[in-house]
Amino acid sequence: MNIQRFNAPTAREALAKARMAFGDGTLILSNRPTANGVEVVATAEEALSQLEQPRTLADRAQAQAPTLRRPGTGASSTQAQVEEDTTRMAMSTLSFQDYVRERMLRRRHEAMNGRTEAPVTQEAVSAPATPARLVQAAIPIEVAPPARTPAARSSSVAAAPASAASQGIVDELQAMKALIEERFNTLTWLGQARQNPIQSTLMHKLIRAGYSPTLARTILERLPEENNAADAMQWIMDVLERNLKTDAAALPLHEEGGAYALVGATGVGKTTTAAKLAGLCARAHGAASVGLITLDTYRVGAHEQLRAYGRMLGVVAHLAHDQAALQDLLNLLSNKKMILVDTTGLAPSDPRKRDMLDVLNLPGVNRLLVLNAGGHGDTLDDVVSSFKSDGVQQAILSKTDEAAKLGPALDACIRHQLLLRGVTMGQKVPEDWERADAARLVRQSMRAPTKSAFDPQAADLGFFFSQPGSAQMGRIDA
Amino acid sequence: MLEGSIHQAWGLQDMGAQGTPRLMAMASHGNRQGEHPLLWSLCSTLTELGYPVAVLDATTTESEHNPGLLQWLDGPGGPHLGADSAVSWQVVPSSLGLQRLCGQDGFQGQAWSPLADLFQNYGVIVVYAGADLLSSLLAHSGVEPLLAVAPQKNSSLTAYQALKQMLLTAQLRPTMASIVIDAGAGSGAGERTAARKLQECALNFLGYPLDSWLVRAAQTQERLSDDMQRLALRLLEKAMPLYRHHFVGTR
Repeated sequence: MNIQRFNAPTAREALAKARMAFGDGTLILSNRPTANGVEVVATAEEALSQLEQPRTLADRAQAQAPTLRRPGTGASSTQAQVEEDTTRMAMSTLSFQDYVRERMLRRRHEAMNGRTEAPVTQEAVSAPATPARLVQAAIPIEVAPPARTPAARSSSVAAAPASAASQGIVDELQAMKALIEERFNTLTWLGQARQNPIQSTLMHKLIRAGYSPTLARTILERLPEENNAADAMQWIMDVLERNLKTDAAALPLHEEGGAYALVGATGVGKTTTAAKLAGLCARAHGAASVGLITLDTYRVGAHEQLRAYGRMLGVVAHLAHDQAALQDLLNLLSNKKMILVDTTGLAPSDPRKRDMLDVLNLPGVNRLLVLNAGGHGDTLDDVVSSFKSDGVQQAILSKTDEAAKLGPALDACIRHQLLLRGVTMGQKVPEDWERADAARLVRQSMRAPTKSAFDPQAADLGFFFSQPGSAQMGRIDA
Repeated sequence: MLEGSIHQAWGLQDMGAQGTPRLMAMASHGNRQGEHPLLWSLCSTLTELGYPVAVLDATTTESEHNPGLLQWLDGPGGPHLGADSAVSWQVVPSSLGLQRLCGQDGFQGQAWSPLADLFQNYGVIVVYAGADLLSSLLAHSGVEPLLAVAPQKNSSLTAYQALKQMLLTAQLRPTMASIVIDAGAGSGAGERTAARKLQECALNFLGYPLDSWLVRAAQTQERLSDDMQRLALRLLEKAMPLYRHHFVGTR
């Protein structure tokens, strides 16, 4: 086979030289930078087809002997030729290792993404002119014997990967081990909890109230054993209350003042909440104390809605299209006690969300995440994660009057350690607003609702804990 | 709940902010070619924003054939909101009427009460008057008068004169604006130059950082509305509420 080395100042020129030598069927085996530029090692695709049948080194040596032993050449020139061949082989092997490594990585990647690797294996086996073939022919130690099936040969190729592939397998095994341990721990814990009637009842109660299995288990694991049923229930309520962060120790939002941008998913009541806060501030400090801005240029009638509230309050509702306009307006309204920025409601997966959050990325603008208290736990998790910002996460629970269960919302607030700044429980502006009271919210969440088709039975609890505990779990103060 | 008069923001009714017109001003300095289109756009935009507008035009004198503010101050009658269906805002000749208000002994905020009564159904009252009258009427009120500038040399001079008078004698801090016909590249160069020069003069000689707005017009109505809307909302923010029985406008 004809493998040649090409040196040139640039890779482009070296490749051009290789193409001049081998034509369109040039196969680049390796390239590397050198002191004078770039070195490319290449061969012709046709040359590789000669290696279709596996041959031993001895056979190949015999086959090449006539060409190597030219008239007039001595032992030294033969030795030099052998050394050159060895060098070329070494280079081609190195190149192939790269290739195998790359292919293995690709296969692992595809396997992790759930794609079948059959086509890749087949391609690796049946491709007529791949470097894999070259290595199989050149280095018998690393090559599967010809009698083996293609699948076996493929696995043999897989057995040769570099340490990266081995590390990947080790990682996977460790992950599997952790998963099995987690499952066994969960089952053991669940079995113990079921044997303890108090724990079992409380677990059922928490799950029924809408709290996540993750939080329920985290709390119940810390439940003091000596408590009777009533004490245990009170202990759980106390833990939930302690871990639900509110602004009870601080001034209410409209008294504290500042610039607040209300963000959140669509339809959670951001505009109405903004109007309520504006109304409360205007009532306490006069209409001149409030500034209203909307960034919502997408929803039809968004500006009009805020303007309508503004007219009732005697407050001008401004519209900002971009960050510069928002900054201008913030400067204009800098003498106001409270500035409320209403934003476009966006789904967590909406690609425009990043742009919108970037617009709000101005000094002095606090984000208030408005969460629909009636939302599903997973949905709330998704929203909180996607609207996450630096520093303390402040939130408002909206539509608590419409929520059949408050558990999921409080669970999300606790696990994500949100600072709850207020609660809205109706449509009336500004009356249906109240400060966040952890004790009341927890009591409300644990109040037994009427029977529901979604209520779990005691026997169903195993299913709730069948998933690994992957949900985010913050620090619990028990 | 289904009563027609009750809605979710009924609780805001008791705040008394509704039905309180706001007063804003536009300075006239003899450059009507620049001022009138801007005033028209301002009023149209305010109307679009839902504020019924009355323009008290002090550059026009009331007469028996063309009654205005003076007659309404003297006797019965007054503006009829929506009387003209084509234009939902009203222009009132007000030269003599405003001078009378201004000439009242001990003119203070209370003098605006008659206007608040007359225009209680309006959302915005725009006083379009010369710098001297505005200085007398709105001294220290916090209102930011609008000052139109056109590319003509004379316009810059008269605008500077008006600016200086309002700033030094009444502490009024005007906002400058000019309409630019957006007809492709290079359009509005004259307006930009005039605005820049006026800004430089205001800063160098008066120490006042004059805020300048370029309102693009013509090519798309939407664009005009967008620029003008931001300007109108800004002026509204600085407008003075006219309470009917007491004056709270001074800031």
